[in-house]
Amino acid sequence: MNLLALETSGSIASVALMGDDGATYSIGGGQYLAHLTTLLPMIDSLLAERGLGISDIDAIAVSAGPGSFTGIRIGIATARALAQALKIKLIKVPTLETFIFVGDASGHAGRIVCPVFDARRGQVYAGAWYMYPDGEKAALVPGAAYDPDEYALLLRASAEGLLSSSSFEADAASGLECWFAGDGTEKYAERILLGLGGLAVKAIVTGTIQDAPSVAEWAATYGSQIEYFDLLPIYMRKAEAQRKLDEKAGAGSPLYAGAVVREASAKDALPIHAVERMSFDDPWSILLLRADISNDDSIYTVAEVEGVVVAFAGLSLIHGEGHVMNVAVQPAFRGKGIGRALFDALLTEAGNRGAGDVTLEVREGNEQAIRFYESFGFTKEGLRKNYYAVRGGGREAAVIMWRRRI
Amino acid sequence: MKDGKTLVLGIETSCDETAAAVVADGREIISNVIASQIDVHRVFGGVVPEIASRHHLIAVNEIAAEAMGEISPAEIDAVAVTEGPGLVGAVLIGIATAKSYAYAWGKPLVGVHHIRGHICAALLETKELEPPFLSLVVSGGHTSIVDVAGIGEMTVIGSTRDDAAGEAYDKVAHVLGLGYPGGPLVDELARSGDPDAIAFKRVMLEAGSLDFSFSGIKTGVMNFMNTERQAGREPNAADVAAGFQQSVIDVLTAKTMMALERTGRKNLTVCGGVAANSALRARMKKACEEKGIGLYIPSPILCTDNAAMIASAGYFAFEAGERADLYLDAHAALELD
Repeated sequence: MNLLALETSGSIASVALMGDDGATYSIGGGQYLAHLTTLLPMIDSLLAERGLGISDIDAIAVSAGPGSFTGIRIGIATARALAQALKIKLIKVPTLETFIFVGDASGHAGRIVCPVFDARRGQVYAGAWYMYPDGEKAALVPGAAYDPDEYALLLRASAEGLLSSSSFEADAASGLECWFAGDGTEKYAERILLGLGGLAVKAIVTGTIQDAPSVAEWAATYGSQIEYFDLLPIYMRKAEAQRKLDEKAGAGSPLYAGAVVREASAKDALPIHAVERMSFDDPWSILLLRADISNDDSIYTVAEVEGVVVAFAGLSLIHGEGHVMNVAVQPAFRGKGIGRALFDALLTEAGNRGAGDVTLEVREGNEQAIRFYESFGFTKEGLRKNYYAVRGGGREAAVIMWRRRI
Repeated sequence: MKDGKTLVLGIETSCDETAAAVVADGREIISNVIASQIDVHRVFGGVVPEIASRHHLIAVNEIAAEAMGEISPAEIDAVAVTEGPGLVGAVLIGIATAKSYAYAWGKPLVGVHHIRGHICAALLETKELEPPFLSLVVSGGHTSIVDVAGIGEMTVIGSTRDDAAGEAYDKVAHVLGLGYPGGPLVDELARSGDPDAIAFKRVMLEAGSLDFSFSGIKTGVMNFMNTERQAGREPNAADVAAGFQQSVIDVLTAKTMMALERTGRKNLTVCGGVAANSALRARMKKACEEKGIGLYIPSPILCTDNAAMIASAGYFAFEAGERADLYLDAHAALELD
């Protein structure tokens, strides 16, 4: 079987050919972001070099993203049309995961492979996979668009889990290595390493980017063949205009698949504080938060993704009334229905514990939050002037909202 | 080649229509399939390039398969594709697809200028129409007067210096709260309005110029609406639409007639999305009858973006020996001549 592999998600495109013997030949160095012009000529010259024609190809593997939207589409449009015309199958390859084959793959045994792409707008597309010395892989951080700090938090939590697990100690006495690669390392590695601070890992930071031979390797190892029309990009992000529209509409998207909502306890104070800090200009102190969570008249709920707290909501019961103290979702997990599920759980628990009317304050300018609360039946009943501090000076009014018992 | 005729598969993805078509000998439509994204973009009030690109990628293969129907790839003589001008992220979906078909089938590839396609649309319906003729191309992205000495010999003799006519329609529709796309909505509303109730400026530019400027007319409408609304009056929208449309059509007609006189061409084609506008069609018909000019306006389905026109233009380019190679690139801006 001759497998053709295309990689166009990064700044440099490449093409690889894997034959029956598993040997891979490749051509790369396509010009910086000139994928449309260079991709088919590269395919043509690689085939010619191997004495093959396009009709000798049995399947095409394509790097499906994340990465440059346009770049991914060039690879996928080409792969889809070739497969359709040649009546062959395609293999959809998740780009972040191909990094377990990038570079010296045998060197990845016993390592956490951490691809980090620059996703613009201050975010990264990233994931983390632990490669057991026997070759098995374990997904530690699912591939997604993250805030760099949030990615570090997830990576840290999963690395800690790995270090404390018995299977790990048996396998790697020499310590844990985190291997960073991808076009986002230069910009974000330092910040991510800071987020890992104190963890007993050895970081190896490279700027190595994705390549077609790794796409072929991934396809040969894990891939399954699909029809051309079933292959679509792994964007990991909505189009900007769509995101804004959804935000404006306050679209309640379905709850993020990996999220679990539960009641919080005092030991959640630290991660809750981390979310608080990422969300507000004037965060509560850790001491205040810890005290409030421990208070018998408080109810706190948290949402966890992959065992890490990404959102929380808190409410105090005062004389049979509920006073919402805080609702916060980590920036990268907003718009996934997490805040909605969380707040719903909070109100339900408040009701169970006898709260009748529920009230809250919200910044006058935070229209999105006001719409969010309105969707839960809250209405504006008053204004408290100069209630909030504004970053850079000045004060902002609080809108007082109530949900009255019916 | 089928029944002695040259078959060209055309692909068009330059804006918000994913289209594919097969045309025989550049004149006979075998198939013409269009998937419009209008509904997708309506909520945004205009075409969103990233969303257009995402939809083209999903649709293009099935649209091409439908256009091919029972035709076997062996019967296709060339694959023609729009190379620009247009939304570059959208155009490149068509190019990557067309290149791959041509490469996999071992067929020649031809790159087509989108405007040349619009001009060739008239050839699909009027078999006896031959150059030379003059062409007025009016759409959401283009407003040009093109002298067509031959299919491969096109010269732009007038074009817009700012907004395209269709763009002005979209913006005026927005001001009037009509929605998107603006052209058909303004056209429809204008039918119940009085075109002489409100006079908007006709921007003719310097004497003798064949160029257009529609941003002034558009601004005139916006200023008028603002002034009226500030004074607490809500103008009759139908009259505004009719007045605006009248001034756009006055300018288009005057410039086109001037160009006909200057070039001495005896035939005129009007094409592009705005050529579907009923008032423009009526006015051009009247003006051409008065001057003894032959007028050819394709049916609305061939005025808006489609791939039959690309296959037609591709056929004439192919016959003239034009070939694109695998390095074919997408262009946001592209000169016609």
